Amino acid sequence: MSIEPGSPLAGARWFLLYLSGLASILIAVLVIPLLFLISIGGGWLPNTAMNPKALSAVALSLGAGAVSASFSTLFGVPLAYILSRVDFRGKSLIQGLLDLPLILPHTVAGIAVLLAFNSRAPLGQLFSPLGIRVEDSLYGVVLAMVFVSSPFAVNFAKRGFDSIDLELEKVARSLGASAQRVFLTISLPLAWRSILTGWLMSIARAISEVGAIMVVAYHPTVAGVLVYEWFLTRGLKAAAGLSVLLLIASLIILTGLRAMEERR
Amino acid sequence: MIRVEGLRVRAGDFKLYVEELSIEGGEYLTLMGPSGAGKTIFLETLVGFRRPEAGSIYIDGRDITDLPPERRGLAYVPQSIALWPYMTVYENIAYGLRIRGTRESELHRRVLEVAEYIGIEGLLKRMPETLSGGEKQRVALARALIIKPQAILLDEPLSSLDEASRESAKELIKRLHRELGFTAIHVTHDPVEAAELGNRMAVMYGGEIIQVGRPMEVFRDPKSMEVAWLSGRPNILEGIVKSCEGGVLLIDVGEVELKAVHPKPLPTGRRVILLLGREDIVLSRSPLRSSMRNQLRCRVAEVEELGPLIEVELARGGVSLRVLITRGSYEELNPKPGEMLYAGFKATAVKIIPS
Repeated sequence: MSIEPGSPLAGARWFLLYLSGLASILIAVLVIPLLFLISIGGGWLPNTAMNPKALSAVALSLGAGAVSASFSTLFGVPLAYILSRVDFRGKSLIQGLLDLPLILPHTVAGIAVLLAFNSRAPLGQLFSPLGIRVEDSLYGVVLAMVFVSSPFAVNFAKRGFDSIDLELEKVARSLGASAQRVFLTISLPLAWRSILTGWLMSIARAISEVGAIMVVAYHPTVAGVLVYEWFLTRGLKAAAGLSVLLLIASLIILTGLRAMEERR
Repeated sequence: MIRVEGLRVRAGDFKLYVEELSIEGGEYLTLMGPSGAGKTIFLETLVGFRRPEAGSIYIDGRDITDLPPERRGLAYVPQSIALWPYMTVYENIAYGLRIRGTRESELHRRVLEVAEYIGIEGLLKRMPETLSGGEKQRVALARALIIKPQAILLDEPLSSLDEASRESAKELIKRLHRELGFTAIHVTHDPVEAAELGNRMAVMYGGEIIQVGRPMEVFRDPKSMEVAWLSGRPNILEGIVKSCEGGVLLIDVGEVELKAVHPKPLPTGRRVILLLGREDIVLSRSPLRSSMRNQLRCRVAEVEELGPLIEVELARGGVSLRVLITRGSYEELNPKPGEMLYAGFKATAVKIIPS
């Protein structure tokens, strides 16, 4: 480790070593379990990769994660733009509500979604005629994922809109562009990276969800739920094998998308 | 013509009130005032980003007070220049025409035309981040001019430029205005910039326009203490160009010859007005050993204390110069009326306005 010339840490080698010592404890807490997971689960990977139930659970997690993140982004970007550009009564309350899913216990989030959207609740009854019910259905999986992951989509998009110099939008208005045109041709392209990051973070959060999904829709089984099921029925090593499969699939997709964005 | 009547705007605790202001078609009005005077709020209200509590804005007799910014035809050039970073220079300039649905061939022709006119045809494929401050400034002007707006509203457009770029940007703006005759409102806090560019100058202070007139009238006859203070009361001299060599003008001012740097050659015999800031002059008891190309031995006519600063009035061959010095310099020099002192100032400090 070297200190960059001109850095304010010049001559503070011992202090840096002390900080590094503390930092390495946290890194160890994070990395060691992952190493165990990969080394033990890796041995079970060939078996797991041939298991149709495991494969369909991973595919469902990734697919439902992408759909829920896209839903959150589609409806979250307009919300983020309003929160970034407009001051109104109750704005802080909405921002607080948006962050609530991040701190709620996951099972509580699931119970809230189930109470609001179950087929006997007023909202659920609205969708029942369309053949949409959330209990033990793909709709339920996606809805639970949206509930827990949409704050990422909204917050990252808002951060993107916040970082835009407002003069860039004002100039476009003065040159003849309507507010809608400015949003589409100036604001969205400038916030695009943040919106994409929010979408990716939203997918990552959705894939990792277990508690809320188990309450709303245990079936069809997503990978996170199946890991828990295998842990109870087949033991730690089988669950580790499935976990590694999910880890690899998520890494390939997320880093692939990130790389595509970097090349843009 | 742009006309503003009884305009009241509130921004938090700040209140702006403009009783009446008219800007003739083709006029270049500079709006000068200190930070916090309300210049930008006034400009934003004209463009349509702020809604006035009362009053009206007219363009050629049409009330535009309630129109959204995109329907006013006022092109805004902010202090930050605000080129869209993900578009090429070409796309930046073309934006206003593109949203008007201009045909691609016509759009291409007009972008090339304006780019050549402003001298940026070689930059069209570049991204804004690769441009210098002066180049960005030119692109912003091209982007505003291409839509042939009712007026261009410039908010401190030169403040982010270095000295050299600022001078060439001023010359470009002067040329464009002279040749194209567009209407402009140019906000600045620099009285010399306001005088160099403006056909007329409005002085804003505390949310109100406190004087409007030709820049020299405002400098010579400030109607209030605020205007006198804000205009910096530069020394205003009149002279005749004696010679012009290598960008340096030699000017006869009464019985004194002064040197001034001017970006464009001026013919011998041309009458000019010279502006020289009171704080740009250095005083000494002995000849100054520096790069200053103007040195005059003058008689001290008067010494006046102005709070923390001291104003020394000098006289030499019919020319009167006022110099601001700090209390420290005053105590060191201790100038007394009737004594002789050397006054030095750079040729670049003398601003030339052809009369």
